[in-house]
Amino acid sequence: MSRDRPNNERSDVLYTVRETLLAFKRAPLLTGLSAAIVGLALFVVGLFGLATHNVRLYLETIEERVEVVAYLRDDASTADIAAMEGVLTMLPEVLAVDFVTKAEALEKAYTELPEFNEILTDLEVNPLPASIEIQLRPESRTAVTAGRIAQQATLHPIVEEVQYGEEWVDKLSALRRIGFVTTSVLGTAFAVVAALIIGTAVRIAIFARREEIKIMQLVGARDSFVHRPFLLEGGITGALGGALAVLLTYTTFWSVSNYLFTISWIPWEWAGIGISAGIVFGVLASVYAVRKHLREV
Amino acid sequence: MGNINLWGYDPHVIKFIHVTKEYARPEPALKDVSFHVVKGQFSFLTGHSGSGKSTALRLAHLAERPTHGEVRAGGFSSLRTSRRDVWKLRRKVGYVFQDFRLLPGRTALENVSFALEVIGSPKEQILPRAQRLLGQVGLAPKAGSSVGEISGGEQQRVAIARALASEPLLLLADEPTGNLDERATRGILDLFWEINAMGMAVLMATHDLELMRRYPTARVLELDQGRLVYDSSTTEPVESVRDESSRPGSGVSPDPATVLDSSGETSSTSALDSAGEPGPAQQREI
Repeated sequence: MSRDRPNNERSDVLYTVRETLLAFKRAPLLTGLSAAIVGLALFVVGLFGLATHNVRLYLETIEERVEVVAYLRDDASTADIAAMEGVLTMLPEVLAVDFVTKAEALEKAYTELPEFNEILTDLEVNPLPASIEIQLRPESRTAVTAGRIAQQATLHPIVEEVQYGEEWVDKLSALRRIGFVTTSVLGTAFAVVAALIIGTAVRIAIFARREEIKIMQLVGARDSFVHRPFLLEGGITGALGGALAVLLTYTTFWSVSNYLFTISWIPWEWAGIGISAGIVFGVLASVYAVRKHLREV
Repeated sequence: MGNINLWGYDPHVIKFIHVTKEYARPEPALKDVSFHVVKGQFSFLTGHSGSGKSTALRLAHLAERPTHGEVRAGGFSSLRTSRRDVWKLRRKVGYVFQDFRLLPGRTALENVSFALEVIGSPKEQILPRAQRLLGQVGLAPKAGSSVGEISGGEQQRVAIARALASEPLLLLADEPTGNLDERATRGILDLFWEINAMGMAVLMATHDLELMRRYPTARVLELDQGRLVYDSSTTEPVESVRDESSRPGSGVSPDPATVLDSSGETSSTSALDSAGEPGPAQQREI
């Protein structure tokens, strides 16, 4: 029964690697083209990733400004204000509470609204109310949470009015959702395109070597032995495509940053995930093609 | 587990048990065919073209499965061997085609080495074994020749050397001399006979009566329209076709060559016996 035993694993591995390299050598155009098309498909995914990443960063800077401002009555006592600050600080959604006096508000108006400086100077009485600015924790910077905090602040007797910019907070959330969904859908679609291309390339490679495969099956090669070079070929095509996609995405990032406007590069883990996904899709597509096309002699 | 020979020695290398094979056409390719071949036996499988010879060989190699019945070959049953395990059978049952099926553009040596490599022979043994196999089929001087440059007979020798690479128990040959001239045919037949003398069973499909006449000790199985109509190893008519087998002109069975088969032993069988392996002489004991 010794003939049945899968012997000499090392020579099997050598065979797989050699056959795969030979396949690239035999049909460099096929391999090159499929890697290039896979690269372009994944590049589209990369571009969406780059865009999503930068939109997300931008939205985060805007979201940092999501805060609830409670304008206070002029007759609010220091004790009342301190008590209210104490209550607000206790809330889990609140990061920090900042009391802005009437004088500070006026000063802020001077610096932020220089065109009104003349009017402000002419005023005899400071018309600006004191306020408490409530900063929310990052995860709580949503329309719902901001609204709820605003509601609670309104109930306090020393509060005249509360503002939290509900419209643009809502819009920000919607934008994030759209970005996420678009990237997911397009990413999946183009990943499928990449897998189909690799599957087709492997299918062509199988077709080109069908006589050899038939002979292998005829003399008793194990299925895994016949399959492995094609799986490796698919994996390498995916890896090359993934690397090309990262290169193209980086080139785009570099060009935009240097000639248009500054953007941020995606985290390198994403690039790593992209290449790994290329390999996984390549191997899976090859497994499918091999299973479908390597039937009996 | 496709291997059914777990409990001891089984002399049968092939067993067809009520085998029917149907394709998408009105008449089945094989109809209720039963026979067996023992270790070391040389058998011709004959019949007109379309009689089911190739189908029977393909079934014995599990390239196809029977529609009904069971095929056992090299200890593997068509009922119990999964597609994943067919490679195990292939190493016990060699196969030779009429059209050789060699890898074009490669040398004789490379063709044989390729087979040794894909069945996982240790790297350092591949070259010497391939050379030895080519020597065995009388082709050592042509080892370095591309298969496109050698004659048909020589190409078939390469194919036989390749089939022997896994040291099978049984060699199936589908019209192996169909593309060869008379001289080459004789050479190939002699080679099969020598291989058989070393203990390997041979089942050769052919419609060449001359060929069978030359080896009167070999067993003859005849198929006609998918039915087994004659088996020289039994004096009884084949049961399933008792009536048809005796009708005139039903095939090659009335031929003097096949009648000769059922007679006594010849000098060649004693040579085989001396090799310590069962040979054609044992055919009537099954």
